[in-house]
Amino acid sequence: MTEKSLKVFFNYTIYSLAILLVFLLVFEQYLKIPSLINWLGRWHPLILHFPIVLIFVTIVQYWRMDKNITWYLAITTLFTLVSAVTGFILSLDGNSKGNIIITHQWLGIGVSFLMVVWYFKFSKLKDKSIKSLLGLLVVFIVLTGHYGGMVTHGQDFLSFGKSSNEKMLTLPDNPNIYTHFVQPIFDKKCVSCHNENKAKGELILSSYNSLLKGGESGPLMNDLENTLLHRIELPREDDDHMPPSDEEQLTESEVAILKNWFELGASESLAFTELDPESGIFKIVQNKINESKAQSWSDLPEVTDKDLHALNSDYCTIRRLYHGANALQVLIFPQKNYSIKVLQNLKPVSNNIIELNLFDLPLTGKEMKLLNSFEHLESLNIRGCTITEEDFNELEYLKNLKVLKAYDTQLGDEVVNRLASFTSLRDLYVFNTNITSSGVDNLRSKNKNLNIMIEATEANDFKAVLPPPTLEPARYFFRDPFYVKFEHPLNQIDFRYTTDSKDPDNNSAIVSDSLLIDKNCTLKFFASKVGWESSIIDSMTFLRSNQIPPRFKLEYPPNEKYIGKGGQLLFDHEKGPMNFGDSSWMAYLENDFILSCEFDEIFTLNGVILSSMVHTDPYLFPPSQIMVYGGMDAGNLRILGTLRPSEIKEREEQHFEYYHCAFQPCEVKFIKVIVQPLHKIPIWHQGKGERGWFFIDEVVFKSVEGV
Amino acid sequence: MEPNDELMNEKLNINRRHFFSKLSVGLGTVALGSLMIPGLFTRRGGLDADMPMLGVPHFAPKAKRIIYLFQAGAPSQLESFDYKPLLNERMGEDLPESIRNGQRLTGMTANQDQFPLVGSFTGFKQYGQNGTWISDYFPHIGKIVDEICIVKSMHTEAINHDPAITFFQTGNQNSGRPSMGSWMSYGLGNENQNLPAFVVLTSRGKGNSQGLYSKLWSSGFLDSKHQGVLLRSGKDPVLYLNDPDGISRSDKRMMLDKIADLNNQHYHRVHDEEIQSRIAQYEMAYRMQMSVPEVMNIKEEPESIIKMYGAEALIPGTFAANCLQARRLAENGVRFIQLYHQGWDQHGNLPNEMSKQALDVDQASAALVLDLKQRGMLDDTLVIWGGEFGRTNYCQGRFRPDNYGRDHHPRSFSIWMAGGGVKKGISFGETDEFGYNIIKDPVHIHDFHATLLHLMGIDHEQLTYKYQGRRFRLTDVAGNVVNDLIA
Repeated sequence: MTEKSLKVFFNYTIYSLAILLVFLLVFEQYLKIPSLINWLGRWHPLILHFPIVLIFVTIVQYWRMDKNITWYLAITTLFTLVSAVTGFILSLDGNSKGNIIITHQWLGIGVSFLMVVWYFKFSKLKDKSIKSLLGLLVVFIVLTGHYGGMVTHGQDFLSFGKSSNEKMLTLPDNPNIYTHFVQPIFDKKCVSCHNENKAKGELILSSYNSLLKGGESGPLMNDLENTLLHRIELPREDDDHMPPSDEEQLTESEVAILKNWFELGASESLAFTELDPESGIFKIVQNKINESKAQSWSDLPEVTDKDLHALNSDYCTIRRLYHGANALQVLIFPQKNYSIKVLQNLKPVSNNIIELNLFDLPLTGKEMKLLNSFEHLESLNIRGCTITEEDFNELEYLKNLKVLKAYDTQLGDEVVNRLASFTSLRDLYVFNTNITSSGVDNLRSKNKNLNIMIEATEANDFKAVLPPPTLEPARYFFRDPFYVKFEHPLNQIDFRYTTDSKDPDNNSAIVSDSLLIDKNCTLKFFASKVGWESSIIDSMTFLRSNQIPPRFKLEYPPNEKYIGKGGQLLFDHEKGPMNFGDSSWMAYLENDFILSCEFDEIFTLNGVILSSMVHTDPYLFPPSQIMVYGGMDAGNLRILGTLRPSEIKEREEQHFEYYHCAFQPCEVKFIKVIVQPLHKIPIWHQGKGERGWFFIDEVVFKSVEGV
Repeated sequence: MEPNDELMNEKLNINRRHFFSKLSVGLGTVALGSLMIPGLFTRRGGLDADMPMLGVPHFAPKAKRIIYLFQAGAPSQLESFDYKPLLNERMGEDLPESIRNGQRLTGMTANQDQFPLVGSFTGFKQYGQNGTWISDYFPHIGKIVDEICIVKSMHTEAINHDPAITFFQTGNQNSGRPSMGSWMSYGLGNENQNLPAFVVLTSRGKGNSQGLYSKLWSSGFLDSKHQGVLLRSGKDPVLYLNDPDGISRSDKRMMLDKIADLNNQHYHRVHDEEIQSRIAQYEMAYRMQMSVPEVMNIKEEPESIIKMYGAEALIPGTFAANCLQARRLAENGVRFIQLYHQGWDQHGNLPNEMSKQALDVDQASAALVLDLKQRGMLDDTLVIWGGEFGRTNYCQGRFRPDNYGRDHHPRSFSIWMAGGGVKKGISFGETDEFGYNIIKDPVHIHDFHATLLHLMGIDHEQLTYKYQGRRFRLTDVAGNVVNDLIA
């Protein structure tokens, strides 16, 4: 082709393309593009690169005053127009044009127009005007390119900054699943290709209605299948898999959220509180809520470790809620010289305090006023604090306050109105306060979202059994009459008792103050109180022992392992404890216990009581025989009484035992007591055939006079 | 330093060419290093820089404190929380070898030629929303079953008490490691500077008891200020805490100040951290003189509380009284409160002894959980109840139709947890119908520890202490957080 014919070719082609472009623009709404032309339009993303480069090259060549500048101009203009035409056709492919496409279109038209003008008029224009034309051209091509990029990649494609750390919206306590979870996933991963400006597969995912409408293959959700889910669950290599394998993929939890939401009916109004706690989506959502809470704490002003260290003291602990967080937890404990200064010192970090605990402090209105400046306070605990209702009511509505613990205080119903105004409050604890149940009902009716805990009602039917009372003084053996009092850890107890060895019941006598013990008796008693189950019946035996021999001797010493205090323990009025290794006990095994006593004055003896202990496991058994001798002179004693304790037939737990050898009264000055430890342990016991131990801690001589 | 001068001079003798080439290579290496070691330039540098600061949870915790009701001696899971009616049906039959699968036996039953199965003599009832089966020995725990999570699939390797309890408390069967409470104190610090972070209360039931050792609450190789403090039930809750007669509090203050001076001088010479720890402990003891009696004073508790725990709560030294103390300590910011109740080692006479043991703890444990609930403390206080291993499904000794005992069984046992971020009202894990092997979701002690630390906001792999050349942690070299337990 000759130079001339080429020039003609270019002229006419450019001319016709320009006219075509104008025609297309004018008659846009009447156009119906056939499919082949449609296909041609898809070459736009390829062809558009040529004008971009060629325009710049042409400008450079122009500046260099190249001789062949017209050649450059021709080819550039040709490509520009072809690009514009194909671009226009492409824009008609699909649904309505978004704003970005329209802007891009007109900018592109502008570029084409400028190129055409330059081509046809280049020789006629003055230098200055060409320069301004070129300036405009550069601006237009850059803008066109930029908007073109936005159409393809999304509006923020070029915006600088960490896109992964988008500022997450703080989730409300009861987020809507669609608005806060589903749509954000679409926004992040799908909408760049599925929006009004660029709708691949004719699917727009930027709003709920367009989601429902679906795309090319019809509505997304019909009875048969859900195309969206199907596509995202396909393996990544599959052609139909969405998002496309070279784009950012959906994470596991995102897939789970979408799947669950669709399964639950894909409702626009589904909220977090309506979710089943067992479902997988519940946990994901819960975690996101917690994360967002943490995220909202990341907006708090910074607190350095140095600041914290300075504020911590023996009675005030300030901690970060977790590593690196600017959210703080404060605990203030009671101290002797408490003053409001402790709270005032917190002012520098008052905006960071999320949790404040004031234990057992004397609070006044001043402290409450201070708290009003703690804007981010979410949890307040004033357990055990003394504060009047008036002072408490100085506390104003803190919009972040969700939890208030005021148990063990004296607050009454006067704070109910103030509490009702705290509309953000979710949990209130008023166990052991003066707030009545009508106050609670009142509060509940005013604030339906508020959980009020007064007491754990599950414990209402816990059985409450009183412990038995203790006796003071617990004198098992006494010489002179004395008064015994009943002691009990609780107040307002009725102590019922009997002295005749019969079990007491609810009709038995009540001890008014104390009881006089002046003779041998067995006291049985229990404690009772309204609202409590009565205690078990306990008993105690009191033995009067006022015949103490001034001189006595033991024929055989006790077993060397259990000598105890020696013979004096027999008349010291001290009861040995359950631990028979104690020095209040003495024991006999191989030898007999033979006690001879001499008195200064004659008295009438009618019984001897031996205080002992029985415990079969360590071989402590009743003696086989007890014999009592008495008389007026040592050489001439006659037997007064014999006692053979009954044999034990089976294992017995450890317990005290009293052996009472009673007989006809007899005047005596000398007494001899002989006790034979058990010779042969019965066969049911593992120590059968061996001797049994006899333990003794007291001997009591009963006299007629001394009853 | 003469010998080094020549070397030094040699090294400083460098020409410009070498200087620049070394500089560029050096900078390049450092740049490479900053790619591989995160934060090389921003933090203190080195691998340790990743270790989060002590005294603060690593991430937002669910629980702020733990109350551990440890049942020493190993209560039988078959008479408490693991209902196995098959054992009652097959009462007296020999344990099939296929079930036993060669499990190691203790010396006490290894010589038995027969292993007769024995089912619980006491009945089980269903409680709560999920119809959980709880033994009649623990009716109060049945009432709170919707608040607790029963883990039926705990297992351990230890077969006898000492190594088993040590394993539970320190993460290793051999002694010498710090206990759980000490790790918590080390990792999280104290909420209340006037009380120890780790407190121990013990009580003893009437059943067969095994001993407890103070190594179970020792701080091992950690600073001694992290050790557990045993609060006794007598007149002096802490031995040697009170001033001797004739010394007033202000005298004590002066004395402590002077001692601290001397100790500080020594510290500056020697730099032994233990000295600082000692000074801190003197100060803590001084403050505890005031704070401990106040906390232990239960006279101000309202009567309704006493009713809830049972009147035994008024008798110091009982489990019920310790539970009430535990609640008071928790309210006052103690991080880790460990209760021990001895007497659960029922090798024989189980029906008799266990019913008495259960009476000691049943109402008080349930009351503790409910008391925390009504104070709003259950959400951030973790309550744990359990022993060191389980008991066998076969009878120890000759099988008698009226009485029986059970030997040790480490392969499966049950514990329960409440509050502190644990799921409510569920049973986790399952054993087979013989109550011998675990068939679902086993939880090893290491996993248990990892989960506890996780609930307290600590990554169990990050809380370490370097000792004897390597970094130790509570979970040693194992442990996985059991996420299904966490709400």
